[in-house]
Amino acid sequence: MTRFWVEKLLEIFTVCLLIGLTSIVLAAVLFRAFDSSLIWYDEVASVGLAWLTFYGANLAALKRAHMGFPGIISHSPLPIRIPLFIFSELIVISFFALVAYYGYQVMEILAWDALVSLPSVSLTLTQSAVPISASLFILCELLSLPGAWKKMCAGVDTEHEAIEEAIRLAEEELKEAKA
Amino acid sequence: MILLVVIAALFALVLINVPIAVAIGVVGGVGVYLNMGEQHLMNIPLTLFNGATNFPLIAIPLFIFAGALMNTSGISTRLINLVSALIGFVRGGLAMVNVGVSMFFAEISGSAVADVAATGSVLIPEMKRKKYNPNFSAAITSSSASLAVIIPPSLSMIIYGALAEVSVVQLFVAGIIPGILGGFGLACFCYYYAVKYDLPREEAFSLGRVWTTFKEAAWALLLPVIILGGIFGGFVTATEGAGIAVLAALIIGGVVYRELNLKLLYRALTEGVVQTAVVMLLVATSAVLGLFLTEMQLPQQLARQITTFTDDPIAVLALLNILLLLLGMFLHGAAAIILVVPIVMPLVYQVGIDPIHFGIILTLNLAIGQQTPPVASVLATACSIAKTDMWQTTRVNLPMIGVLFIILVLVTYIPAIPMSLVNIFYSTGG
Amino acid sequence: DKIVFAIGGSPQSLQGQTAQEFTRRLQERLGDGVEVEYYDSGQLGDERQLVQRLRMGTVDLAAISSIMSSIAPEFALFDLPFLVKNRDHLKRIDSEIVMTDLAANAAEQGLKIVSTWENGFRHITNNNHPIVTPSDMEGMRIRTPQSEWRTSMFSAWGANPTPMAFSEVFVGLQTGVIDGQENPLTNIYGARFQEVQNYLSLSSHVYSPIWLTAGTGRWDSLSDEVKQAIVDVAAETQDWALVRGAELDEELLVQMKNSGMEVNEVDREAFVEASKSIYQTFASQVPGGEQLVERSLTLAND
Ligand code: NA
Ligand code: NA
Repeated sequence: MTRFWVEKLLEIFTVCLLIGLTSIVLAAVLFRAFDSSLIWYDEVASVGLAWLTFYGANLAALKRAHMGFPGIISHSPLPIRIPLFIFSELIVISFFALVAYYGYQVMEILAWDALVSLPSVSLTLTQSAVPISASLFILCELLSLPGAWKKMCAGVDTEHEAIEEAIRLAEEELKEAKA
Repeated sequence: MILLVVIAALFALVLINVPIAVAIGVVGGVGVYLNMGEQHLMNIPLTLFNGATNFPLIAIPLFIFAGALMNTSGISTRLINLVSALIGFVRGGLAMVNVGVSMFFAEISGSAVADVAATGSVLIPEMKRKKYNPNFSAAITSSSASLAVIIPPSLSMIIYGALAEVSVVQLFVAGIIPGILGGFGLACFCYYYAVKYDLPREEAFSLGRVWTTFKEAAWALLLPVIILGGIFGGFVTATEGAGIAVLAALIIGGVVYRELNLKLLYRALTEGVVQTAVVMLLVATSAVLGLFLTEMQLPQQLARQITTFTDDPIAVLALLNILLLLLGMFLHGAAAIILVVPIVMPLVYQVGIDPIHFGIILTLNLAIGQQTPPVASVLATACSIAKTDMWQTTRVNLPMIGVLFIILVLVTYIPAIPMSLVNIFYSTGG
Repeated sequence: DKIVFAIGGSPQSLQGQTAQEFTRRLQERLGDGVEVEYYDSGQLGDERQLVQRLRMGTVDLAAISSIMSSIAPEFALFDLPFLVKNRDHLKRIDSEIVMTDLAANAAEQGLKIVSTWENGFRHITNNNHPIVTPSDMEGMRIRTPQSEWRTSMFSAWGANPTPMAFSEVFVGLQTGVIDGQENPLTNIYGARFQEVQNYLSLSSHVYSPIWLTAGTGRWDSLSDEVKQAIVDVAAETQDWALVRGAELDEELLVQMKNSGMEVNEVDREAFVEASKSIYQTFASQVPGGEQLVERSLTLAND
């Protein structure tokens, strides 16, 4: 249940970011064509990309979609699989715990600075995405852990599974298009 | 020595299925800590953020979004009909259709897997029905889809351009001739194979059919014309061209073909978000690894060591090609570019290789890497659609890998192949 | 022990040449006891990140230019058009305003200004026609850095200031996404813009200094001997940089003409006239702004 709502919220937020980013780029082209370029365009769009990166990475973590190499693990015997699985989860969680901790520490230093083209926007706001999304990453990793654990125990190759899913979607669309 | 430790650590983490992006970040972070101490760990969040705020990379989410829209809005089927009307009358025509469509279509959406799934799920069953060998069907789909990385627009080139700080537009232009050569090479092989195994023609050539299918596909064809025309014509930058692509795909799929609905739009959006984040997290964490490598002066040391050994560009290019081919076997395309660029660029500059030329060499290597198991997601997808064994398909795929390899050698040692168009359009003078 | 020194610019640029000269001289002065580690091309981050790293103490010295005005607004003095007349004028502004008033403003923001070096006088290139008066720029798409001051300056002159990633500017100028750009000659030459631009208008509209900067925390922890060495060598390097800057201006102008650019002088009076609103904004927005401007302009007449 929690998982469902976290996923929906992240989805809606990041989808809005992507729509926003697209609109900014298109607006910039339009404004330049009418001789009044948006001066904050590239700085704001770059920050938008960073937010999309980090919050989108949370969504990808929830869907376990990050690029990896599951082949060896899924083909090794269960007694080897389990400790390696736990170890790799621990590495992921500790990495983002560190990023969240130090990301929070540097906020104090960032409070000095603002965007160059929009001096009213503080860097504390723009770079808050790092500690917040790092914390969310841990949450998403934990929320998707039970599903990943089951698949690991069953020896599912997740890359193979992703490929099957892509083909299923394509075939489904093909049928829809023919109908 | 340190470079070897870094590579070994990366491999160890990736092999136990730590996501590649995290593995890169962990190795970089541990390196920073061991080399410079705890205080420097504060650089990590700053570097992560800085790595992700790279303006030219905004093209990534936009192209991925546009590609997802195209995959869902019936553009691919119309293209296939047009191309078969054009070249279906030749022996083995269906295989050539496959080459033509993949080159045109693939490598826009950022998910090579989704692209191959979109074209392959139409073409591979059709080829099997026409008694093509399933292994051959999968192999030609995979090779031609991979070749698309050097035909603009290409995400790999956008990533390379942003990281090596060279013009994405010039990279796009440089990819045109090698891309056409590669497509021609693959088509020739299809013809040879068709004659040898007596494969069928599609229906006879008919101008009427070309015209009907052309009218159907005209809007889809307009898409690259709008994007590339806008970029080369000086109306927009490469990044903004990606924005135009989204707008055009929305209009064509939603208003003209009327196959795009809100559900499909939302799916394209979430797909765009996830695919972008997967690539961009890699970009961000490898900035951390880059920080460590820079402070260790590793790229410079590597350049120095290799140039004391030889500073002949021909030899250095051969070395680089071997390295890239090896990496391509084990790494996904984007990951390989992101890792390799910061390490080898000092060397590339020092021996005087043009960074645009090198960009084409790098992307071609990755196209070949998509064909070489164990890590070959494009090939794996094609095999999965054709229900073939990856290793058996690889045996049939060898001649096509050979074609790609010949193109690689030509592009490497005859710089005029990629560079002549660049020099004509963007005369870089003396 | 070591001193980590980083810049954002390329090794060929004037700031790159100056930074290498500084590194060489400082290493010579400090001997084997302290190692000076030098990084260019933004290897340790762009200027923004370098400022953050100065404050954290993970970089010891960095050369910081245009971003300074977003840190302490008083530095926008150097974003005012036609403020600096020539390099002698600059030296007087440096000793009487930068090292006293502005350095104090920077110190409040956690940064120690060690010395003022140069990026150069900025000029405008374009593909349409020679720019003599501001009205020649009407509606022209000129690529400028993101800085609020620079864009409002070009807007005041009637141009359409357009931000763009530096790596795309060459192709942007060629394909016509933008009509022109503004930079010091060393940057124009380094990016080969002369190959894709027809007109060079010697506007000298802004003199870009670059400040050798340290984080106050880290600076205070350095030994007196090292501090003195840095200050002395930085001052020597300032003289070197100003001479080298003047030399390059002459050399490169010849290069620009040789590559077929049409070079012209601008009507300075007309530009100064069109820039009044910028000076007014500066006076009203920046604390003590009016006095800073007055004092700087008086120093021109010495
Ligand atoms: Na392509
Ligand atoms: Na591979």
